[in-house]
Amino acid sequence: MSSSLTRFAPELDARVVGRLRPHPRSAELPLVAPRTRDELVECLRAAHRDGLALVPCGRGSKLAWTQPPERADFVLSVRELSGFTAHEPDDGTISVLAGTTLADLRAKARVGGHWCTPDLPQPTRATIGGALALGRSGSDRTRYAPLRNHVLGMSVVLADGTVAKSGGKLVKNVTGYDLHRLYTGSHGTLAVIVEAALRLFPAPESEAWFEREFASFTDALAAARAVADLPVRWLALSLVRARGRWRACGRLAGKHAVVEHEVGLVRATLGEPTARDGAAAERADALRDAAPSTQTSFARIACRPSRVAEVVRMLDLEHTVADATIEPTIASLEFALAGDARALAAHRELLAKRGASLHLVAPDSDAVPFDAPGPELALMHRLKQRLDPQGVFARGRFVGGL
Amino acid sequence: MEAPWIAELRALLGPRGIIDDPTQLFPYEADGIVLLRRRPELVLLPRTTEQVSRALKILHRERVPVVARGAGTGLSGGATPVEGGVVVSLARMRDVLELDAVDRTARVQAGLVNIDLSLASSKHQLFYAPDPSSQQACTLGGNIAENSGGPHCFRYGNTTQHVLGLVIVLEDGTVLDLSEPRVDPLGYDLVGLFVGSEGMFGIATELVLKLLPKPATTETMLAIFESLDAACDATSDLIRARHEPSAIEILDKLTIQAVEASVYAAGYPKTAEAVLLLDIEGSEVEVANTVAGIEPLVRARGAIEVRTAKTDLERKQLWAGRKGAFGAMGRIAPDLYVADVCVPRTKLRELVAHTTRIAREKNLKLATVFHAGDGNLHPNIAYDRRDADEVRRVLEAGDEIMHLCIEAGGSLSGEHGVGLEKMKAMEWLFTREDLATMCRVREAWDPDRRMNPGKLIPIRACLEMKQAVVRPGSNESTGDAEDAGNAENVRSITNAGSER
Ligand SMILES: Cc1cc2nc3c(=O)[nH]c(=O)nc-3n(C[C@H](O)[C@H](O)[C@H](O)COP(=O)(O)OP(=O)(O)OC[C@H]3O[C@@H](n4cnc5c(N)ncnc54)[C@H](O)[C@@H]3O)c2cc1C
Repeated sequence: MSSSLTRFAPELDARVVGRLRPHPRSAELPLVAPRTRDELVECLRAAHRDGLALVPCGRGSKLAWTQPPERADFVLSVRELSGFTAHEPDDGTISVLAGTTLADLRAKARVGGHWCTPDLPQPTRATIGGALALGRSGSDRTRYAPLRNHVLGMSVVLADGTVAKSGGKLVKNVTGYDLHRLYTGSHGTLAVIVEAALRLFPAPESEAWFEREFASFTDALAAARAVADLPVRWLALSLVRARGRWRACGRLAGKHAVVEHEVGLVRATLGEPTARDGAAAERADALRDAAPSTQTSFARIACRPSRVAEVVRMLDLEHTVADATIEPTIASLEFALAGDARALAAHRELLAKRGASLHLVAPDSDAVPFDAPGPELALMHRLKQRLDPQGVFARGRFVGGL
Repeated sequence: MEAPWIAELRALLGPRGIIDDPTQLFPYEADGIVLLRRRPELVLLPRTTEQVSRALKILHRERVPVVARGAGTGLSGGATPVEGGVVVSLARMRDVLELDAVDRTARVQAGLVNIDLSLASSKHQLFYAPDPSSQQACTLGGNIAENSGGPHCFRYGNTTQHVLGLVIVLEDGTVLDLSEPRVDPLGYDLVGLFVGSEGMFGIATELVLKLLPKPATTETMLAIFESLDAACDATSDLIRARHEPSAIEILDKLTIQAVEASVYAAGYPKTAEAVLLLDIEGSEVEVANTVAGIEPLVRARGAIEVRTAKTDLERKQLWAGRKGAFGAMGRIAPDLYVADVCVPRTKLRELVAHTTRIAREKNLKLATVFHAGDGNLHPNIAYDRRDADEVRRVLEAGDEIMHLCIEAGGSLSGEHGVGLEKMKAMEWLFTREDLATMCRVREAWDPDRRMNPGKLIPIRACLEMKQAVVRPGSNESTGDAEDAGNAENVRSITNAGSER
């Protein structure tokens, strides 16, 4: 793409590599992809100086998950900033550039004998920077808790081109504010994440996969609850609905002897494992890659574990949804959206009364994706105001117009 | 005549809710770092979020500095009111408000003592994982402010991983209710950002915390070494071999001797140069498997004996020794400087050796007891605060240790926080831009920097931020003048302490 197509300053023009919509309902904009950290800083300084607004992204696969920007001049991708700046297998830490795909990150970790969370769908198409910006945990959350717990430090570029880091590369560290917790899940509205240090976990020696069909959602949930209460460290545990059937699926992973023992405990409820080791991992990956969140329109409801059944009943999900993945111990329900997103959005208030929140990804509809935060929104706006007063990171995409 | 705002606070909190008698203000001058002290003008002891909110509204109007205080066991000068003003103690807010055994959460007031939550959850076979050695005294609010750790945080992570929700009172008295435990934050992760903010973002009054089911089996293992180096190497080996016990602690000879001579006597062999104390938790098979993997490794590193606790009592005793170690060291000298630094777990031996050398060079008595599995060193230096020269050497040693850790890729604190003590060192680890960014975030919470002022971020970084003009191609900004003043400030407090 010729740079003369834009009206930007040379620093930006020189980095235009194509065009991309910052949201399915927005018009195409120039796509700027700096190749180095210095170029990225230059791009932000230019945008800041020239009063431009941008939407940051990795590979752009989840741009539909937010709202369209109020105003944006270009999309800024960190996809060229990929690779590893440090890897200490003997310390169990890795430092990765934001544009690195999750597949590459996992492969690198595996070489050092580690598992790297988050285990997200379509890892060859998603970047770690994107996962961090969305604050998105993977199917392995049942064991490893949310991704944000394992971010040890970050380096970001702020709206004015300032490079700022927080944390470090250590598994334990409380030096300074945890700004990486703020950036994680900030949807690219506060800073461009350039690099992150992550904690790694031991790679499993052996795996077992369970998959059992149940006559009803209630039965499947009861089974999942029963096996969740066993002294077993599930890597992943979910209820999956596909082709009109509910299944309970579980993944055990760890040392040989431990997995063998755990299989023995689970067997009574979920039957024999349907796959082992490599085949178990393949089945888990296949299911992960077919998750409802890989569809164009889906919803995610999060609540307290004890209210999962109530939410399912309230929305009559048991029979109406086509595809769903419910993680009972985390209390996250994800399902493909068939009908009008606004009909579901109408339930927001009722869900909120049960402490449940709803995230809607429905790019074809104008239903608002996020719940409205309460009084804390004012503080969020103050944070935005301090870090990006000019709105270099396009406004209007995240909750409450952030 | 009493100032009207003080009378207003008295009316709000009642006679037992306010301390202004100078003789009673003494305990509030400092936290666990007694070298750094300053008397507050007033101490408030509210009972409810509502009272905290109304008190902060008054203090906002009067522009009085506010310092939250839990139990004052902090070890970085966090609760020390360096700029005077009012201390808000959470000591009378210690109720368990709700314990939900089904969803495994607890809602508590911030002044609840850490151990009391585990005791309260015990009947449901649940426990609260972060277990600072001070857990018999420290408050959960203090834990949240410092993002505290503890031996078992090796497996379970520091406090931040266990906080699901908070009620926070902001500097102007606004109550921010973030207490609905959310799977993921709605908007920015304010709860995650607040944890570890060292009392500078507001006062946490209520906390929603995660509880965990008690492990089915726990095995406590004690490996005895003839050298501290070997114990460090064994730890690095355990990490390298991907073993996952729940705690890996090291105690050196001087610590062992102090413990054994105290009420915490645990049965550690007094002649050992070091012991490695491990907890292994999980299902029976998991525990057996991990123990079987660990034992040959520690033996290969020269452990002369490996013991496992046979009974629950033995187990408790072994841990009482570890948890009482700081207290026990009171026998070695009147005062103890507890350093708290972190290094990559591949560099334990190297850094521990450096601390030993530094102590020797400075003629100081060093005892080491630390969260080895997390690379979190606690070189403890015994001293007498009446000896000004010794105090100087202690502080110099602390600085040297921090420098060496930074060089090794480490950091200034693994759990005690930066507070007052390590503020100047922040500039060794972070750039001006890093610090200015922290300052910006702080000002979103507290625009006048009135909450726990004079902590964590050298003031220069904030002033600079205000003056900074971002010029393309330049990282330079101005504002060096304030730095000297600030360093001076901290130093003079240190001296005041040492002259006592
Ligand atoms: C013997 C001993 C052993 C220790 N062992 C450990 C250990 O193993 N691990 C560890 O991490 N620490 C340890 N510590 C340090 C200390 O106990 C912890 O930092 C603890 O969290 C402090 O709690 P506190 O209630 O005493 O807080 P304080 O010392 O009273 O305050 C600490 C900081 O928190 C702020 N604060 C307190 N309450 C609130 C609130 N409600 N809202 C906002 N801010 C607040 C204060 O302003 C201050 O900045 C130890 C200390 C001692 C003396």
